[in-house]
Amino acid sequence: MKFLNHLTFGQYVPTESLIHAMDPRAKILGTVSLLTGVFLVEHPSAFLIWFFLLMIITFLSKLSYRLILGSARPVLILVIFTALIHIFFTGGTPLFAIGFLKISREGITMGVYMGIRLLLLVLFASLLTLTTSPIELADGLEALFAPLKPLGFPAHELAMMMTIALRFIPTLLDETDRIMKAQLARGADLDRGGLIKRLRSFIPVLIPLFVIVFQRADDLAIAMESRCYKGGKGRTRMDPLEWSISDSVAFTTCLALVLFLSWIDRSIW
Amino acid sequence: MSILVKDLVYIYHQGTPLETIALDGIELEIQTSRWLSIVGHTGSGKSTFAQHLNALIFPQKGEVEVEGMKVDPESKDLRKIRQKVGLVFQYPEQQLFAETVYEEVAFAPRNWGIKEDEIHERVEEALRAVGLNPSYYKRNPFHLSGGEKRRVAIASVISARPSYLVLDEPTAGLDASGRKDLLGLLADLRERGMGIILITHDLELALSCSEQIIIIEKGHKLCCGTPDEILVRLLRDHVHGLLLPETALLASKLVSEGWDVPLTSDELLLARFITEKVKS
Repeated sequence: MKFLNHLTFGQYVPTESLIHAMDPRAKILGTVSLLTGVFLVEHPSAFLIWFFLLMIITFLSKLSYRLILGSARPVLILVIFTALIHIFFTGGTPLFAIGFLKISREGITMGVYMGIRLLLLVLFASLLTLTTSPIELADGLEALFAPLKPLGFPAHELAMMMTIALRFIPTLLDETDRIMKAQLARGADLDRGGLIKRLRSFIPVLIPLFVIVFQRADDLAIAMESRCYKGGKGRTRMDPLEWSISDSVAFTTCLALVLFLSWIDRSIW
Repeated sequence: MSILVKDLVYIYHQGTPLETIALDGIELEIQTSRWLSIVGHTGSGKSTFAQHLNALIFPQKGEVEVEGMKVDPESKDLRKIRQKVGLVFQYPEQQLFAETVYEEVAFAPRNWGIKEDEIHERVEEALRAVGLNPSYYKRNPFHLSGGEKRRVAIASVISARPSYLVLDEPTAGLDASGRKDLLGLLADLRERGMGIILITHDLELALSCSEQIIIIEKGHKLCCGTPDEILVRLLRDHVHGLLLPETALLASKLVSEGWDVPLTSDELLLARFITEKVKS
């Protein structure tokens, strides 16, 4: 039985690096522009450049390549599943058929493209969470959504919800790991048998997990209320965000790279 | 029959910035029918050690052998090892899931393939051992008090009749009477031949009930011995995060003032001695 202690997606790893020191707004905007770039790719060779770019940012963040690549492990099944869906259900000139499933050249191309895009999306997103603490991330999001506040957009509430969700990913993984181990210690067999048997064997894990999740949510709500939390109205900050020249340079570089790579992709290849 | 631990090393998140050495070269022999306590402050590696005994995690270096069966991911004896060594996690009531107390306690023996007739006998025996009478059988475990839930959780482990029972901070969150009841239960199990391995940060608790104590600090075995030997050692060398009983500290101060006070882990004996001396 493999346990969940190698999961890094959603975690923050503090180190002293250029990327860590950046303003969270610049990091969020930079990541969004890079992700847009990934979805604009048309030529397969361009993916190599994007992977190379990912490696450069990883190097600058002083995180290990193993850690970054490992963060994609939990969503690998989703990546493969997405690729297969596109391979089997995209129309076009059929190459061959397995029963009712027809595989076309266009389908294979689309499947591979979508698989790689999703993989890059997860890797860039986890690079953002690995280098930005949940509090910084929430502050950044709130500041970016702030212009929409006069229109009634709940910027602070949305940012707080995202922070809590991100903060609880590793906690809930730890809890799941602990409950799985406790049930294995009592002889539960979680990884044998057919699909139905496996699903049924997870009941002793899921019930305690739900109980803990609701308990934690309740505790958190009480803890926030007891500290007079009433949303973002009138709230001040001890460390206000500061956008420096280096943040402008980093964000402009990201934007320029995306435009440049898209241009090369379309006009040269 | 024993559990053998040789040069055990375990590192979390190896090769990442989160790398933490949990265990570093632990050597140990644990006999059945003995009460061993493993003491250390939070983060000293004691819970990681406990999980090795039950084959929930595997040595990255070194060896763990449970009655001749090697704790190894490739071993065919993993289920046998887990049956031999019962593990009660910290806050075990958080692992409850069944609709009735009976079903919860029957979970482990059913998983080990025990016949239904014997399961009934085991459930009865385990619930009696933790002081819960038959009126509890049909009750919903989620509707019980904290102390009762803990008893059900412990019964659900001992119903598998393990040779060794490992308990990770079993008294955490219990009041004084709950704690006393639990220690009484463990003493009974020990009398019946079960090896008790108590994992705790509470030195006073370990001194009061163990036959052997091991102190772990930063993944290293700092010292090992009888409660009296450990007490004398810790009065000499302070260990971060471990608090000595007040009576022992007082006795130690009296000794340093030239009084003839016996340094022992038996608190009653010590307290009586000190009271008599102060009176005289």
